[in-house]
Amino acid sequence: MTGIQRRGLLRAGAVGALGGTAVGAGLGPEVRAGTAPAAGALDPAAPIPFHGVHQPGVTREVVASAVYVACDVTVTRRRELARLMRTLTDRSRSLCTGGRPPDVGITSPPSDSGVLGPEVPADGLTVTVSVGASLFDDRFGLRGRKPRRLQPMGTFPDDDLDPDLCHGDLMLMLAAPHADTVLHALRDLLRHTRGALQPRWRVDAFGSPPRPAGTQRNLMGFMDGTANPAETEYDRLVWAGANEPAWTAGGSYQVVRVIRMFVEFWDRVGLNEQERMIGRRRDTGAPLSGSAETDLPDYSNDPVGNTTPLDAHIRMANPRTPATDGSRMLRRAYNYDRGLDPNGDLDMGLVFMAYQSDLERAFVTVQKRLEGEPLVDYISPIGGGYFFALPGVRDTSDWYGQGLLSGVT
Amino acid sequence: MATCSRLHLVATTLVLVTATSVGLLAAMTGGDRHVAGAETNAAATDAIDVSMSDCGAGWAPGPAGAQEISLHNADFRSGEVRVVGVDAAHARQVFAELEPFGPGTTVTIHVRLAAGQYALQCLFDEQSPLTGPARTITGDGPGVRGVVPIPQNQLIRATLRYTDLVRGRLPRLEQQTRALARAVTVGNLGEAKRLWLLAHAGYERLGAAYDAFGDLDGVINGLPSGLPRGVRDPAFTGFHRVELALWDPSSTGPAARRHQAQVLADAVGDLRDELAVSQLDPLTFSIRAHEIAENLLRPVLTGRADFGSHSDLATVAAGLEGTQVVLRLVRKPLKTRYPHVRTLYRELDRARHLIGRLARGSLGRTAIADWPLAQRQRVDAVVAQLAERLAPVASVLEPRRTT
Repeated sequence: MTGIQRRGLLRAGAVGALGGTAVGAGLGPEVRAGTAPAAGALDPAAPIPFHGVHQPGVTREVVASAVYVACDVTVTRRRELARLMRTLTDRSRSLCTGGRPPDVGITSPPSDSGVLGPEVPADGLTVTVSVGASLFDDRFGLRGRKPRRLQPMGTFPDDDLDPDLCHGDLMLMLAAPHADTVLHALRDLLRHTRGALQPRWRVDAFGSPPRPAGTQRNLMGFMDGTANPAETEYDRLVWAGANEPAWTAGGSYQVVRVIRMFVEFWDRVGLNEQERMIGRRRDTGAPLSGSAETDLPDYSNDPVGNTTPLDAHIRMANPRTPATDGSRMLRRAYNYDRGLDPNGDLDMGLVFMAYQSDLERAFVTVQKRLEGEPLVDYISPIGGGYFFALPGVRDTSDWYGQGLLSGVT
Repeated sequence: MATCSRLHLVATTLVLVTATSVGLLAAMTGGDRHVAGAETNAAATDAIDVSMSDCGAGWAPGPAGAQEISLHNADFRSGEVRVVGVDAAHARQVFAELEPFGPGTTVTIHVRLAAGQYALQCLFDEQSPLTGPARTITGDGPGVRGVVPIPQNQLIRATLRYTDLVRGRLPRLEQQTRALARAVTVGNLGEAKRLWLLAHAGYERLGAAYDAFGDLDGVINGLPSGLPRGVRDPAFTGFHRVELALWDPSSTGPAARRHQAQVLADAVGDLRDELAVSQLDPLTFSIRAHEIAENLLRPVLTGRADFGSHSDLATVAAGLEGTQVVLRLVRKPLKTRYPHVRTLYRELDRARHLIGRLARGSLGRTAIADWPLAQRQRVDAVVAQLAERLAPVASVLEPRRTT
């Protein structure tokens, strides 16, 4: 088991190194050779640099473990909000850097939970902090500073949203190669922000290793997240840019959608029909118009959908026309598994996450295009929200949202 | 930071002497993790012996900052080893403690020590404390705060006053529960509910969390968890059983209702009798403050302690009042031992104000599950923050041997 997992993680890391370019299947041996063979699946991963123009978690490839926690701010003064953001920054920096937690003598309970042992490894942890539209209400006088395209997530016709699984002032997305690292960080962050932040809803998620290669599979058995913008396109498609408040530079609009999959129903559907609904082969991830996962879907000679049905998911989501090019976004799909329905069905699905420079132009437009697709019988968006991933923490004196909160009167 | 690199240097040196070539390679090519492993091995060979005849004469601390002290209990007794301050600035303060410390075991403690004079102190079972030779630490590295163990008589005095306070309130509480039983007997459920709310808040105000009153607390204020038949279990008695009977009359027949009200009143009477001849335990007193808050977070604010009265905010308000009473009794020893004591009092006041205000409004009569989310989050946040703030109170007031 260890061997398989190790291979999976190495591949995941290798894809990450390429920054989501569309090279995909060519990765093979040379990339594997280029990745240090040192780390086994059980070894802690190296730290990911915490400081930068962008939060490192935004463009990060899917890793083995993640948690999404939407929180509400329970303090009422802007000064207290700033203190909260400073605390979040200090703790995140410390967790993402690793080291021995300071001993406290006999003055209080231990400063660390001990879950990761006496010497806390960074273990490739990333903390991604995003803010929801509700933070920009009247509580903190931030109304005028709201990212221009930030709005509460609306209800799409195919949604079945649970209000207890939607929205939030603040989204914390933690990711690492090991679940204990993620949960250790979660406990630490909540402990240090107690009184100022209350969790609102939470979904634990995991990234599967490539099976056997290529993009991770979702719980429908299909590769999910194949087509993504290249790193060279991030400035145009991912990072917030024109006509935005200056403080947003380096940030990105984040969409989180908790999408339930009716896996029992799905498993009762024939393979051909499954593949027509998705628009890709299940085994290889190849588009129906191609032979390998990395082949670009081609609809140019298929106006009536003889090869790729017009209502196939990937074709509706991205028709690959010049007019729809701007609606592309950086997608990261994690799987979730949270127990049972009252009737004994398995409650599992996808935590869809997307980053884009313009919510309306990207996610909202695509979601509208997908209305009524055949796949909606088998999936059901049940929660999530729209957030704005804050700019990166640039250095040791910077903190999450400093540009947003400093100097506001 | 300087200390850190020193430790690594030491570790590497020891590895050179003792490690196999494989271990050496790992230490040289690996990251901190390997070095940390080497340190652990080094510690075992480097441990300072402590015993009744020698309390750590071999201790040679590094410069101010992080210290790693490996100790080997060379005695046949178990006991406790501390790092204590010996110069005027740190006198009687404890900076680290290893307790329990079994015979023959080796343990490493980590502590940050600022410049000053320190010594190891050994407290073996049934032996007087033995303090080792003083060691002088120099340098700019930061240290943890030391804590002077609370004198036992101070803790006992506080517990006695707390016992007196509880004793003084029990007759009233018994009166109320007897009146409640009479109201149930004559079928006046409205009056019974009114008395129940009074009496229950009165009981919660005593701060009975986590076994302060031993088994009687379970009889008086227990929940059905752990009982095979749940709310139908005959062992489910006390306030919450009566609450169920009063607010969900269909759950309990008239005879059972009368019986349960009587059981409650009798149990409160038993508590009064018992406390008249015994004391509360000083050993658990120091944890009282923070455990009352823990008890409010769970089960009260999870809604698990609501059997129909929806009076959880009154319970929280009463618990916070109990917390304040306990804190008042240790105000003096706390002042010198807990630097955030003013913040703590301020936050407690703020919490009491918020909870009191909400309890008087419609939320005070509403099941927690039906509270508007924002209100629920504020209440949870303020009580949880208080629990965090109260946790060190138990640490610094923990009963410690001084003789």
